[in-house]
Formats: sequence, structure tokens, C-alpha cells
Amino acid sequence: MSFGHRAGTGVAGGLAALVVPVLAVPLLVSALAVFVQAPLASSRDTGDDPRAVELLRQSASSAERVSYSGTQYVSTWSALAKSAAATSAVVQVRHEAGGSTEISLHDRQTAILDGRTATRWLAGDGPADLLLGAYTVRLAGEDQVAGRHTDVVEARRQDGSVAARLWIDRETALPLRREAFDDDGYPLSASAFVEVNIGTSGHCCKTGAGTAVDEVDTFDTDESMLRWNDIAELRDEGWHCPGEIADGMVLYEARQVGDAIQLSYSDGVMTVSVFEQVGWLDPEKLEGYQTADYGDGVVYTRPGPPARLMWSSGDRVITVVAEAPLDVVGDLLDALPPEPAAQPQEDKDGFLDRIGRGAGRVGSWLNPFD
Amino acid sequence: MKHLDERISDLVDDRLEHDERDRALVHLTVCAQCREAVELERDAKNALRSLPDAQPSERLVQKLLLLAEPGEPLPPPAADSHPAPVAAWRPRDTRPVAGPKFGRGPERSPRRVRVVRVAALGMCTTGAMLVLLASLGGPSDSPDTPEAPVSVVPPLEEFTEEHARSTGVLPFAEPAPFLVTPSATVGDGW
Repeated sequence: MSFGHRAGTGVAGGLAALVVPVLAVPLLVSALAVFVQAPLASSRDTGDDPRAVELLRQSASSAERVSYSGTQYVSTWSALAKSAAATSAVVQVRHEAGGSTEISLHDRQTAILDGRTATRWLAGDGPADLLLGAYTVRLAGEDQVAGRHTDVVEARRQDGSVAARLWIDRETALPLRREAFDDDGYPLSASAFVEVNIGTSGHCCKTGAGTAVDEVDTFDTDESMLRWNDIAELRDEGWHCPGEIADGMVLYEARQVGDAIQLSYSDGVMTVSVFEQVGWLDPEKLEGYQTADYGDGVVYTRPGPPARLMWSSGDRVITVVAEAPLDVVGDLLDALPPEPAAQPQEDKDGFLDRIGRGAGRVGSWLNPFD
Repeated sequence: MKHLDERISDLVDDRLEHDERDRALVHLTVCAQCREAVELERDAKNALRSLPDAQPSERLVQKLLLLAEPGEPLPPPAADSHPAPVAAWRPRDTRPVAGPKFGRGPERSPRRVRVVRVAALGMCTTGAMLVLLASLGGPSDSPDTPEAPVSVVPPLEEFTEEHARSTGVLPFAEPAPFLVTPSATVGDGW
């Protein structure tokens, strides 16, 4: 899909829409980053601001009611490397009310995201409740984003540090700008619309020609989605499937991806995906990874962003994709401690190992209670 | 005529030719020294013939029988048989049939041979047991046998895309995972 072929926009306008954000937005946001630093931990907020709570609830459901399209500038930093370098891109976003969201990157890569109605939501509460359960929210002021009036809502941790800022459109409650920070003020991600058209989604998404997309109920069609009873069975079979990996980071979605189980966790702002596979990591087959010692074990990492970590625990291989502070992953590492680097397969299937397994098998034959 | 010297024994044993014997007897008539030597030889021979048969000990017989190796073992002597007189006994040929004689010392006893054989049998049995256990412990194609854990290389890019898909349902999360692409620009941030 092309940037220059959005409904109502000519080729020249499309180029301008691409060039202007690329040049202007980094300057604009750099200035904002200089003057609006993430406040460090200073005080413990006593409670949620009711106006902020109401705005967040409206915003969480705004995508159900509002179609929009626009140009968004997105940056992300590595929580693992914590360097100043960011990965940034301008993306085109198109969304149908109550339907899917299409994100085009560099005029060639397109991703279509189903709405929350298309997933088996496991968290009980909605996304706004996740955020309200993990953070204290308050109204921090007002601002302009893409020429529209917005209210700024801050989500703070218990230590008072800012976890996220949200710029919520006063008219539609759409979140037009977002920033997320580590507990020491290190930025994790940021995005902002530099141009947004409310009420039009262009040629979005799967049905095209501006036709509204009905809510796609994939509960019965997407067999990969897992429910709580499926997760209970998996736990009985030896899969870990923790319901929560850190304070406030709760399991909101689980699905089967090939031979892996994907477990998605969020506190409403930060996200972590945990993949479990049966087996063990063979160091000889892992290239391009950094290694770090954790306890007696080894963790293989790629700084990203997003930060990615792998390790063996028991007879499972754990892979984590994290857009969250690393202390969140630390809790998971403590719960599923990494093991030392595995020996080559030949050693694991050596003559003595086979003799041991054979003796065990004979013993099981002779055991009348087995 | 010279003295008889070494021919004394032949004369006593009657192993001389006729002419030689006559000459020796003529010499004895004139030589007292040789006559005395012949008398001594005859006395010694008569003394030996008058001795009873020697009875070798059982241990000596067993040791001597072992000297017959290598080769098929000799049958044990019959309980009621009498051992051969020492004068009639001749050792068997103890030279090996062929090849070097490794570990075939004369000190080898039946008990030691038995110990060696038992040890060898035990080692063979133990080895066979270990091979059997190792074969049982090998990979099994039986469907009811749980498979051994396999080495895994997580498909990291696929997992990252799945992470991006799952975060797309969250209104307050960034669409940042979609930036994981080689063409995404890397800068110093905003």
C-alpha cells in the first residue's frame, strides 16, 4: 500500500505528508524532550485523578467508535542497552471504528492488527483497568498534537516516577501521543501523530473502499488462542504459563505459535511477550547473541529494541520480547532460573547417558507400582 | 696296551665287539689297576639293580604332567596304577607347538586358571549387560515413549512479529515493535 494513495490526497500531498514529518517532527520532539523531561521520583501520589481516570476509560474504548488515519512518528529505545540511540520511523496508520488497524512502514511493510474483540482477553479487566491497577494517574495539563487540543495524562509508579504520558484528544479521546519511561527516566518508546484525519480510515483495512468492518469474532475460528482452561492443562503438562510476571504485569493473551506457547503480559503501558518451547538451547547454533551470566546460568540477549532474551529453564526454552524495564524480566528470571550453557548433544546422548536411561527403563518394567 | 678308561663301562655293560672284548680281557690279566676299576663298576651296577622302585610324590607327578603343556591335557593317572620307575621315566616334549609362549609359565596353577576364566566370563557378561542397557536407553520410535528434549533455536524474528501483533490490541502501548526492520532509521532519538 502506498503512502500517496490515501483517499482524498494527491501524489504531491502524499510526498509532502511524508517529507514534512520526517524533517519537522524530530526537531519538534527534540525540543519537547529538552523542556519536558520525565520527572524523577519525587513524591508518592495519594490517588487517581477522577478526571484522568474518566479520560483513560473513554480513550481505551475510542477505537471502537472512531475511524481515523494519519501519519505517526515512532521511536523506541533499548531497555537492555540503554543507549541514546533510538530506532525511529514514520508510519501511516489507518483504523476502522471497531475494526482492524493497518500500519504501513516505509511505504512497503504493512501490518494489520485485529482489535481486542478478536482476541481471547484473559486479564478480566480492560486495558484501562490494567493501567489503573498498576499506576496512579493524574491530569498533567493540556497540549496540542497535530493541531488538535489534547489533555495530558500521566501514569506514575508508586515511587512517583513517571511511567507514561498520554496525550488524549479532547474531541474523540483518541490517544494521539504517547511516551513511556523507565523508572530512572530513561525513555523506552514514544509516538505522536503529526497528521491525523478523524472520521476517515482511507482504504482500510481488509475490506477496502471505506466499508466499515464488522467486529470480527475469531473466538471460534482462531484455534491458536488459548483460554484459561487450556492454560491449566498446559500447566499440568509442565508448561510454566505464569499468570503474572511482575507487579501489575498480568497475562492478557495466550496463544499457540507453532511449537511454542506465547504468553502476552502488560500493565496497560509496558508489554512483555514470553515464549515457551520444549527443549534446550544449543549454544553452537546461536550466533549473533550476547551472553550474560545470571546466577549459575546463562542468558542470551539481543539488545534490540525491543530487548530480547533467551535461556533454558528445566526442559523449556524461554524467550522474552520486552518493551518494559528490565526489572520486570528480572522477576521472570528469578521464577524460571536460567541453566548453564548446555553441553553438545553428543554428550547428552553419550554411552553412559544411554546406559542410565536403559537401567531406568528396565527398572520401570520391574516396578510393580509403575 | 693302554688302560681301558672309558671302555670299562662298555665292558661291564657287555657292549664291546667280540675282538675288542678279548683284547680288554687280556689287558685285565696284566693290569691290576683296570681290573680293580672294572670290579668297582660291576659292584655299582649290581647295587643299583638291587634298589627297590622309587615312588614319586603326587605333587611331583602333577608338576611333571603340567610340563606337557601346551597341548591337550594329559589324563590323570589311574588311582590303582603304579607310577613308572624313575629309571624308566622320560619327560615329554615340553617345547611349544608353535608361536610364542605368552604367560605360559610353569607356575600357572589350575586355581589361577580357574580364576582367570571366571574373571573373563564375568567381564564378558558385564559388557553384554551394558550394551543391552545402552541399546534400551537409546532413542525410541515408540509413540508411547516420551521423546527426549531436543535442541531449540527460537525463531526470534517470528516471535518479535508475534509480540507486535499481540501488543496491537492495547490502546496505550506503542506500535514500536513494527520498527524492528533493517530499513528502520536509527538516530539519537527525539
